[in-house]
Amino acid sequence: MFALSKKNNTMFLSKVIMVEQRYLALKDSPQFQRRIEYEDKNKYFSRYILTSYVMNAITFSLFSVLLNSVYFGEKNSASIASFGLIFYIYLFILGIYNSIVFLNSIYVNNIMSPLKSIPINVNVNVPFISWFIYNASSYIFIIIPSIIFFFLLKFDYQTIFLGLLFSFIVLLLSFIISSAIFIYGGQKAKKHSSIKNVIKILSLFIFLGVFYALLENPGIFSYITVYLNSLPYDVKYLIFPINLQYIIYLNYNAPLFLRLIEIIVSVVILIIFLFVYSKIRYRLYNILMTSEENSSTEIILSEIKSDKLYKGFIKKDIKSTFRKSQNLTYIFLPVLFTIPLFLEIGTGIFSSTLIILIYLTIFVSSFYSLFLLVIEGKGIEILNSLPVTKNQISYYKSIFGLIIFAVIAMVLIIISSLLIKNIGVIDIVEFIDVLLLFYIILYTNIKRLIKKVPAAASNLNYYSFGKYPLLPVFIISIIILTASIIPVLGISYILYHVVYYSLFSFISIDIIVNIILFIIIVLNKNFFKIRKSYK
Amino acid sequence: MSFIEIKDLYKRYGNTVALNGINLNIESGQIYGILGPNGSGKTTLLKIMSAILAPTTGEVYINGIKTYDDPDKIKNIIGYIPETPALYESLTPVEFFNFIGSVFHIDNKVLKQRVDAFTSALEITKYLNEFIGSLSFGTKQKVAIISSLIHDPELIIMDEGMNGLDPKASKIIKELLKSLTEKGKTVIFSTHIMEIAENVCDNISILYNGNIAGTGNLEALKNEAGSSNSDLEGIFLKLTGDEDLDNLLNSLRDTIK
Repeated sequence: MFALSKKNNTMFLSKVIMVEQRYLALKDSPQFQRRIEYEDKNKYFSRYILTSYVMNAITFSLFSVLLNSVYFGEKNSASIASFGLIFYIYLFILGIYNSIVFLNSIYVNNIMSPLKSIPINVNVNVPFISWFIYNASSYIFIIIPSIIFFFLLKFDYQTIFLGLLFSFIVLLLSFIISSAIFIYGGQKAKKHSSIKNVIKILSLFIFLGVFYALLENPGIFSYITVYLNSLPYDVKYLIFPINLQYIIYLNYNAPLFLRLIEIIVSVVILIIFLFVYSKIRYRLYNILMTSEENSSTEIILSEIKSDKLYKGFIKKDIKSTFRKSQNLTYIFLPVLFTIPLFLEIGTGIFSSTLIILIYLTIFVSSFYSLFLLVIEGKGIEILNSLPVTKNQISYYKSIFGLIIFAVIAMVLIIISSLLIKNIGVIDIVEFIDVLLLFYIILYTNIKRLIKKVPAAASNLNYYSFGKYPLLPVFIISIIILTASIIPVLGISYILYHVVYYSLFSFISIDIIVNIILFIIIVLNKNFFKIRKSYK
Repeated sequence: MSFIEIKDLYKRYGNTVALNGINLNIESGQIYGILGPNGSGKTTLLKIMSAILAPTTGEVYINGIKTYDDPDKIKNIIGYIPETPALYESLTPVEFFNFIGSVFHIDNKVLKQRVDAFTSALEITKYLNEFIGSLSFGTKQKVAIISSLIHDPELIIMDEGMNGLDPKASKIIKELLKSLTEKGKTVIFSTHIMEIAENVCDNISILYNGNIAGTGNLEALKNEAGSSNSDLEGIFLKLTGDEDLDNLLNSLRDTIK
């Protein structure tokens, strides 16, 4: 698409990678084809990437301003600092999520492989630079208002310096972790063993989940907090990353020498992460540059056997998901975000398993709506040429998602029951209830998203569904949840005043409401359609 | 009524006209070649015939069924082989054939018979349990061809389907296609290779800039081009306005100097 320039080719290639991902996602869409009739492709994509970036920056800034302005008005610097920590955690999670999607997309679409044949030195940092400059750096805007507010309250320049420095460090760390998952996930492996893949990816995510939980709420590990509090005043300001709010914000009263040490320690932390990155970047680069050559040579013996359509579909999805570590990361990534919930079972609003299950349902179904289509990748061209309707694809993909979710929900219920030391019929009823809700949400979202896929699409990646694909998905999930809960609340209110009310009856009514929603939203004549057999 | 009827078919991508009012009738039981230079609209035409793409205007009927009105029905009677083999790389060929078998509801015994027959004819039996991603381009192409034939389609549409095949496999596929047409099946394929088109096709249409530049059997094309002694390559060049290649080649040689 571009004429290669020798000057500044690192920046140039970084942009090419980003553009190519968008191009592969959009090239088959009629809107895009119409657009490039009267607009230069380069200019179109430059503007596309820039507007995405600016919109991200504006959204995150507004979000941050909205949350911080009350505390700024109250001159409550402690609350701004506490929110600051939450924003850093958010930045960290966004960084991981986004870099995994980014790396998988480059790998699956073989975007860097063609660069091997071009007589040009491809800088080993191109993937990171591309991700950071054109994508991740827009997330820093969630931190900036918080830093500015704090600065305006305390006039402490160190907040600005360390605030920005740690924004970079946190994003660098998230990229390192994603790269480690990507590399360790077995791109170079000569075996496709599904079980090994699952164990590897799962263990990485559990490790990551614990780390995330630790960041989100150090109180979970109360011994750490107790230990921290027992430390001398000076030391607890230096412990990364648990006390980020101290290092960045709440150190304005600290003695000068201590503040100097903090800056030195922060720079040392940066150097350590840069060192780790420098070690990992070559492997990452090699894998991305040779993505076309990395395929398993394993032999899988299976018999020739034709199944029912739904079975064939689900088997195909299970195999292509569990044999590819990139696809597995998509499956486990949403679960990662819910790991802290597992650790908070029985406390506060999470004293009821139902609340956690509903949270899990909304979160996982929304992400799966996108990811279950993204894992199709180039396979979308096959599906387009086969006599399978988009409705059928939505049904079968949703069943596949439901199977995985059922396992996750079951694990959560078992953990919850063990922690609360109470298991009963209500857990089974809750389980059935959230499965119904999950399927309705997943099906609705997949059906909506798949309509956006052009009939002649030859590729699907994360960017195929618009600039902000997750936002409408989440909104639809919340609408369906509301449609499910509101009637139940009404009926429960009447029951409470007239006869009787209990959580059991609440969930039972919800099941009935969900069954009605299932019939209205999911079932239609296509579901039972039996195709003519060609033998 | 012909097996395939194409009436006033237009396809536009924005301001670009990919197909500019195509009219074509194709009878069943023949191998029909679609020839044309790059960007002439071959792939677009084949995708519309396969009910993958919708036309901008115009109609395509296959066996009396309007393609985009009932794409599901059309796709059931078609075996489509794209330009580059579209396959699930983390499945083995057996698993992929099983998936195709499920989609077309093929009986287990029949599926096994057909897979055995095709894979041994195309000599890919030893690769059946390896991941498709690890196979060579030619082997992937063979897997794609088999997967498009195992449901015994009425119409086989190959978009440059001979790409990447070794001479032996190419010969086998040509013979296979001929025997399929003897049984009443119809094969439509696009190619750049004139020799294949000349040897295999009963009839040919030459597509140029979204228009039919010539159509019929070799004799009819010769008459249309007004060059009774030309081979298909000569006719092709004449009908697509590229006959004066010498000047172009001379200019190219000068550039290389």
